[in-house]
Amino acid sequence: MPVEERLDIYWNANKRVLYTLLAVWAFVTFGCGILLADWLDRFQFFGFPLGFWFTQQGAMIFYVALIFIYHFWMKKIERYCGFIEQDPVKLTKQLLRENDKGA
Amino acid sequence: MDAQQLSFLFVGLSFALYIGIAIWSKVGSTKDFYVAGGGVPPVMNGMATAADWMSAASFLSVAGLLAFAGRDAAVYLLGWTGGYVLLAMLLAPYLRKFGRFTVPDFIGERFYSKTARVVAVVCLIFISFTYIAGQMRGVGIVFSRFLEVDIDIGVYIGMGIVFFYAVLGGMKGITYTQVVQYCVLIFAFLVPAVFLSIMWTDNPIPQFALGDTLNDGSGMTVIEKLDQVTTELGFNAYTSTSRTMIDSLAIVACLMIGTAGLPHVIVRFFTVPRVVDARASAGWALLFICVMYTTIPSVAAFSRINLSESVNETAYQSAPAWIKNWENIGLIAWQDKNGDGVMQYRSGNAFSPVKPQFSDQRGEWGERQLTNQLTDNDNEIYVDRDIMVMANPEIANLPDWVVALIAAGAVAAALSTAAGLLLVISSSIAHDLLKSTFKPNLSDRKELFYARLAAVFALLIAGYFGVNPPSYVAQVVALAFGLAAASLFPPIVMGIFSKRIGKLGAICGMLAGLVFTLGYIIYFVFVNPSLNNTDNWLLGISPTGIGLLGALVNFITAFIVSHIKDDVPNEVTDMIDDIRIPAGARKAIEH
Repeated sequence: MPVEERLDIYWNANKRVLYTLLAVWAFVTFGCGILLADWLDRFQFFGFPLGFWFTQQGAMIFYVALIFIYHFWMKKIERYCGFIEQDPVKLTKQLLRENDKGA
Repeated sequence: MDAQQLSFLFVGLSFALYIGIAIWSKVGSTKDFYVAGGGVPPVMNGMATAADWMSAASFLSVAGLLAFAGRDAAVYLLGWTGGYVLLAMLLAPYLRKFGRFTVPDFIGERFYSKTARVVAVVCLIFISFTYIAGQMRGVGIVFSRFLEVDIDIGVYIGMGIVFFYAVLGGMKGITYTQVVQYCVLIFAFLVPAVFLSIMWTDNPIPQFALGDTLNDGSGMTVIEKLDQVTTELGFNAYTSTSRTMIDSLAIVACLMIGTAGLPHVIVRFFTVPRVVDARASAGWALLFICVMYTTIPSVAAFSRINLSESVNETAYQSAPAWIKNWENIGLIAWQDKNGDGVMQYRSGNAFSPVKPQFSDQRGEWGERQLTNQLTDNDNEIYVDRDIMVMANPEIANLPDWVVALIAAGAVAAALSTAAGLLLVISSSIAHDLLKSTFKPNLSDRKELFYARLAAVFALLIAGYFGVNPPSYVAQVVALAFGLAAASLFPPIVMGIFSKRIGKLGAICGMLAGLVFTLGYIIYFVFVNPSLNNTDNWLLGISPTGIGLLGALVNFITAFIVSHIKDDVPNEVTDMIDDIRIPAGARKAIEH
C-alpha cells in the first residue's frame, strides 16, 4: 500500500476510535454522573446508591480503562498500517551491542 | 519522640532524599533541563505526572471540600480525573510527536506566528502563577501546624528546597524527585485512610469502606450514617446536591478541559521516548492518581462523621487537644453564643465575616475571642476546610508517626507541583520568549543559564504569593483550571484536528477566551462578590465553570476569523499530517 493511502486509513481509524471512546466517556461523566444520577440512585451497588457511586469512584475506574483501551487499540491500528515506532533507547542499546560484536 | 520531632525527622529525611536526587541528576543541556533528555520510561513518567498534578490542594483540600459539601464536591473528582481521557486522546500523542520543549512552542509553530507564541506564553504564565500561589500557601499551612514555625519561614524553607532540585536539576531533577514524592505522598495518604476504615468498618480497603456497614452495631452503612448525621445537624443530606444541573455540567466540563490544558501536565508527556509511550503513560498517570482519588471520598466521609460527633455538644473545656491546637493557629474558632460552655455545631456560618478575626483576649472558658459579628443561627463553630486531612490522625487518635507522615506527604504534594510549575514558567520564558522570539542566536549554554535565572525569579514571585496568599487553596486552583480551559486547550486541539484554522484565528480565539473568562471571574469574585449568585450568572453558570463558555468563545472566534481571513501555508499542513502519525512514513522529529 502506498503511504498516502495508509495515512488515510490510519487517520480515519483513529477518528473512529476517538468518537467511540469519547462517547463512552461523555455518557459516563455527564450521563451517569449528573443527568441520570437521581434515577440511578434508586439502585444499590456495593452499598452505594448507584448514581452517587459513579461520581465518587465509578467514573474514575471507567476513565483509566478507557485510556488503556485506547492505548492498545491504537497499537493494533498502527501495526496494521505499518506505522510502528522503534524505541530510540532500546535501538541505541541494540546498535551498541552489535557494534561490540563486530569489533 | 513526640509528633513534632517525628515530623521534623520525616520531613527532613524526605528533603535529604530530594536534594540527593538533585545533585545526582544535575543537568548540562537544555534538552535535559526542559524534557529530561526525552528518555523517561512510561510507568515512571506516569508516577511523576501524578505527583506533578496532585497538589497541596488535592492532598489537603479536596477531602475537606468533599467532607463539607458532600455530593456537590463530586464535580471536582469527575472533572479533574476525566480530563486525563481528553489529554490522552486529543493532545498527548500528537504533542509528543511534534517533539519540542514547551506548549507555546507548538502554538507558535503550528500557527506560524511569533505573536501567537507570545500570547500563549502570557496565558501559560497567568495559569501557572495562579496555580503556584495555592501551592506555596499549602506549604505554609503544613509547616506552621506540624513544625510549629511561622508560616512565612515555612514558605522560605520550601523555596530553598525547590530551588535546589528545580533550578539545578531542571526537568531531569524534577522527574526523579517527583517519582519519589509520589511514593511519599500516596503512602502518607493511604496509611491514615486504611486505619480509619478499619476503625469504622473493619474493612482495610478504604475504597470499599464507604459503602460498608459500620461496626458500631447500628447496622447502618457509612453513607446512611452520613446522611443521618448531616440532616440531624440541619445540613443538607450528604448525598443530596444543591447545585443546578447546568452549573454541575459546566463545572465538570470546565475542569476536564482545564486539566487537559494545564501546561505543566502537558510537558510531562514530552519526556517519554515515543508517541506510544505518551499514550501509555497517560493511562499510568491516571491510574496512580486514582489510587488517591478513589480514597478521598472515604477519608472525607469519616472525617465528617468524626468531626460532628467529637465537636457537637462537647464542653469546650473537656474538648480534645486537636481542637485547641487548630484554634491556636486560627483554623478553628468557637464563640459561646448561648453561654452554656458547650460547642454547638449546626449548619450556617457562625460569624460574619465567615473567617475568624482573632483579638488578643481569651474568653470565659479559655477560647480565643473574635472581633467578628455573631450571626443569628445556632452554629457556634468555624472549621476551616483545609484542615480535614491533617487533623484526621489526631481526631482518630492515630499514632504520632502517622501525623508525621501526613506532614511529609503534604509537603511532597505541594513541592512537586510547585517545581513542575516553575519549570514550565522558566522554560517558556527562556525558550519561547528569549530564544525563539528575541534572540535566535542564543547558544545552548546561554539559554540554559537564562532558564535557570528565570526559574529563580519565578520562585521569588511564588514565594511572595506564599507569604501573601490571595485566597484559600482550592478556590485559587479552580481559577487556574478555568483559564487553562479557555486559553490553551482550544488552540492545541484545533491545531491538531483542523487544517483550516490559521494564525489570526488562533490569536483572536485565545485572547477572546482569556479576556472573557478572566473578566467574568474578576467581576464576580473580586469586584462584585455580593452579586455572585445564581440569579446574576450568565446562563446560570458559576465563575468556577465559566471556563467552559470561555473555551467555546475561543473555538467560535477562531473558527469565524479563520474562515474570513486565514490561509494556512503548505508547510504547516504538511506538519499537521506529520504529527498525526506516530512513525513510519516520515522521519520523526528529534529534539
